[in-house]
Amino acid sequence: MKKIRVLVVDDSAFMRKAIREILESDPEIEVIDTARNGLEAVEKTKNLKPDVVTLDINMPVMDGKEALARIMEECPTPVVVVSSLTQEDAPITMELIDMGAFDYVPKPSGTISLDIHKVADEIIQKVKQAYRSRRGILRRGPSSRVFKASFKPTKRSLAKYVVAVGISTGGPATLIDILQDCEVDEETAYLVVQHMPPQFTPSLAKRLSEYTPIQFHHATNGQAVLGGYGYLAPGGWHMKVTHDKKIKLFKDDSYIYYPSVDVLFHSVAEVYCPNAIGVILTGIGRDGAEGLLRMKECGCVTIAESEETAVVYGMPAAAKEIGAAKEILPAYRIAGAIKRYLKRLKGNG
Amino acid sequence: MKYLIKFRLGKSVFERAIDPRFYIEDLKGLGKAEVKILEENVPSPEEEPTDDHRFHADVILETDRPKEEILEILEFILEDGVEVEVLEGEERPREEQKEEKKEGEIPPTLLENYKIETEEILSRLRSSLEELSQNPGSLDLINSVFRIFHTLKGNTGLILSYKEEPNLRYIHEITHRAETVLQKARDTGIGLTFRQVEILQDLADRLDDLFLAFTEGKEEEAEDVFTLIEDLGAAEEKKDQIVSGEGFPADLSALINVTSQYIPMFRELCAKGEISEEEADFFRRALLTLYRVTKDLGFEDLNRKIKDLQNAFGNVDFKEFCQSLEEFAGDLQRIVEERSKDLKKEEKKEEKRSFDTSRYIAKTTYLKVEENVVKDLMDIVGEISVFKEWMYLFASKLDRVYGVPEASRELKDHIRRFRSLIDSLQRTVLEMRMVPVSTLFDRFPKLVRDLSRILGKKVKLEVEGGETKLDKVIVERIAEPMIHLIRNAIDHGIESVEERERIGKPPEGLVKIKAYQEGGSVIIEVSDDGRGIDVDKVRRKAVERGLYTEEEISKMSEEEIIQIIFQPGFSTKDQATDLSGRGVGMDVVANTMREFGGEVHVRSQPQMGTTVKLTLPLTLAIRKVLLVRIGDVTFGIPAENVGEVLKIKREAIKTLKGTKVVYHRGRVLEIEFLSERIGVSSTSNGTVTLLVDNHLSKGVVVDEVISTIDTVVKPIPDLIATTEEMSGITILGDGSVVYILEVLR
Repeated sequence: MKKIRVLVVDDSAFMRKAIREILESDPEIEVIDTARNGLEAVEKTKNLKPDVVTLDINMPVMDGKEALARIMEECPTPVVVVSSLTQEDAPITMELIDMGAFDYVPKPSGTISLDIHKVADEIIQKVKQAYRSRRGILRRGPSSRVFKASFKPTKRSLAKYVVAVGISTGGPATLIDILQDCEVDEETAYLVVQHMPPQFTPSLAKRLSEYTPIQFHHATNGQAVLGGYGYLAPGGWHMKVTHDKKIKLFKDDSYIYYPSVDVLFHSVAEVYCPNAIGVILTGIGRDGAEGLLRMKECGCVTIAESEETAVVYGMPAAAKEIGAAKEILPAYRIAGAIKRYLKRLKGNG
Repeated sequence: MKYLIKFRLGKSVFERAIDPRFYIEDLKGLGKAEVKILEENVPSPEEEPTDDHRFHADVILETDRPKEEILEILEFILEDGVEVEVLEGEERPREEQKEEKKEGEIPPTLLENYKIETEEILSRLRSSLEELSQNPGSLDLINSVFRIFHTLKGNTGLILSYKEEPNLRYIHEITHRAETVLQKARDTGIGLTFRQVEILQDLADRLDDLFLAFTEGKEEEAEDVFTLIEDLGAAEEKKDQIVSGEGFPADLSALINVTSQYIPMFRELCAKGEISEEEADFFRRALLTLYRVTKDLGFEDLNRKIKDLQNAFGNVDFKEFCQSLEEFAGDLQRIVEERSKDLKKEEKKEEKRSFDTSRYIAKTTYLKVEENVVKDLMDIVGEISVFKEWMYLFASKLDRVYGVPEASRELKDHIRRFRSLIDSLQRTVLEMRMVPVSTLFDRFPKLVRDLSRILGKKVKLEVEGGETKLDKVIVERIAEPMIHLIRNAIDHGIESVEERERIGKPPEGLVKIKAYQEGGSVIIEVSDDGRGIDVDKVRRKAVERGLYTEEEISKMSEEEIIQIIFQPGFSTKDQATDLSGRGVGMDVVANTMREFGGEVHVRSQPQMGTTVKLTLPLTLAIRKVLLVRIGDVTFGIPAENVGEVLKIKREAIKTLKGTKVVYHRGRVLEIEFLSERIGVSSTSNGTVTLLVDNHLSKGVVVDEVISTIDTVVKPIPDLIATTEEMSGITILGDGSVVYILEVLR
């Protein structure tokens, strides 16, 4: 069997060796070369055509961001960003993912919760997924991002309609792709769950606010769901909506994914039906499928991303399998569908 | 555990439409909670919050949960006015459930790589920090230091994920914190303070220690790094005290830098009246940047105004927006003016109050110049200086030989003015070569720490006069001798803790380094409060080693005997240690001093300690030299070696037991004819000139002293044959080459 050919990019010789050893401990992966900075990375990507590139962020000569931009432009290749998972690295990691990197992996960093075996496993899995999803990644191409002024509601009122979105691997870029073309008004709120560690969700909320017309809150416990805003579930907490339309954050380790899409969807089904739209996007696993089904059963519109665009066709596939999705659409048609259904809901109400 | 949780929430919470009662409910879920509502005026989510809205409550909670867990629940509103106090029970750290010690094996090749790369990283760090200390505002340098810390942190983290190790854990923590500070300095564009760079250097020292301990499998006590790290942050807060190039505090100049980029562009766009989508985009980004900058720098008023501008943009008429923008620019202008006024006032106050050197040091702006360029400049100035002397001679000649006294006088007047200019030029160039001795002294705290650890002694280091300036070359050359002296002080001088306690000294020994200027010399003293030099032991050793005979030594004073320690091959420590006592050390000190015309002297008192005094010339570049004539050859003799110059009659020279002597000031002075020593025949018959050394102990005879000049002394080119007394050459204004003779030392 042909091995997955990987180019490892890091300015530390030590880190290059470490990542190489981790990757090569898997029989399906071979590291074909390493690069010491962004410039080398771009050149070697062009010359050697690796299947996957692992990319460090902070490097001399040319940093990860510029290297990624050039790789995506000159020789599109699945890129996995190696990030130290710190709050300082979060905004830039988010930006790289939005620029077309497949996903990030934690840099083995010695933080207590990350022991080497977990980290090694994650790096290997992400590289393999990146390879498998290469078609999705390369097809997507770089998205254009324009700074958008946030919608400012003129009065405060609880949202009547909600759009609930669940998304995982391959997320942020797809999320912004879709939400940047969405509309928001005083009666509508967006509730978003993205599987992501706590260090990253604040940057994602900020990025969503900057590049979509929706002002996103990094959701807070006890916060009322007001029309005209978006609420992103903070990493490390599950998010649900209470009957008085306030956000309740809580912890419950019985769910595999944090924050859980199912939790959000179930509560939305209970509180807002039928005035809600459920959207399930790219991601590994099957989180959200049950919740989406529940939403559909009580009369909500439910949408799943189609295989055509889903970077990782896992969660949408699970939803489709159990018949939870009313519509199955490629990412580029989802914003239009949301607009259309919102209009229809309002017409009825 | 019993906690008191105080809620004092106001408008900020309600603006985000948060219902504080959710948190009370969550707390109730943790244990037994007693809730006392003090004031409850919570708006409905749809109501516009006002200052009257508030939620004040005290909750007494009895639970077995740790404080961290309570804080985690409250984290979203903590900054809005929530406090958690522990009323009863031990505050214990969160259960170390996650901290299952990792005891895996580190793959040997990986470990080897880590060690190799870390050594390389640490040396790179040191040199980058050194550069940064010259120019702490350079964002490029900050960025490269940042990357070094970043890489080290990453590498260390990887090893730690295999196996927990205390030294590496410290390294990881230090690099992480340093990285954070550097990142902030880089991103805000403010740069670092000198003090912060110093602390980073100290931290780099500690990284060395920790890494060494790791490779040796020892455990290094490193709690002190946390104080350093705290200082690093604290030094940052004091940043507005440093004054940057334009004379503004750093925060203000950063603000000016950023705003001055944007405001003209804003105005330009405003003048156009309408803007494209792209330009609107630019506006939004620029406002966002300004928002962040003002927030980071703590300009709250401006920050609020920008927020208003952000909200206004796109929502109000563009013209109206431009008006608000102008108002903002006005506010900015006002703030800058007010702050700089305050600054001037403060400066005046400061000046009156005291003269604080550090203020001036912090203000220094450096210009980096290649050392060779300064050296060349020095040479040129030296030669001009010599040429000046030669012109003066020519002026005299105009009178005496060519018989034009008027021209001679006039020329001499010009030369006098010229001379004062040359003098100040020379001083300025000399100043360029001068560096504060602190550049050297700053390495000593680590040295002392290391030595005292290895030797198992407790030693405190006191440094005084670090600002004293000295020729850079000298500072570099005395580094090794000074390290020897400090080693000796700690190894031979300072007693062990037990011994010190037994004889009633404080357990911690003291090593003191003091620098000061005295006339044209700089004195550096290294003293300790140890046991002092044992004169008997020195005497015995000196005889044993055959340096002196019993008889010779019996005639010597105690002070003279002590100076024997500077002789090659002398050491008193019975057991040679790794650090000192191999018989090298003190003679290295003496040799180095001699090489550049310095002196070394030691004073010691039993039980009271030892002081080694180094007397150093201010600079090596320019020396005062006596030009002397023997026959028709001119030589130079360094003026600092000459104590007296006298003319004597040949008859005054007597011969005593085969040596030539003169009686001078009631003493018999041994003298030597330089003509005989270097084989040049003398042409003076009746009267000769006698040069006497500084200690009135010996003299040399020359024919005549021509003049005294300030000159650049250069080393003798390899190809020229020399004798040992020739230490260098100098070139005179007329191009002739003169040997410098070290005959009076």
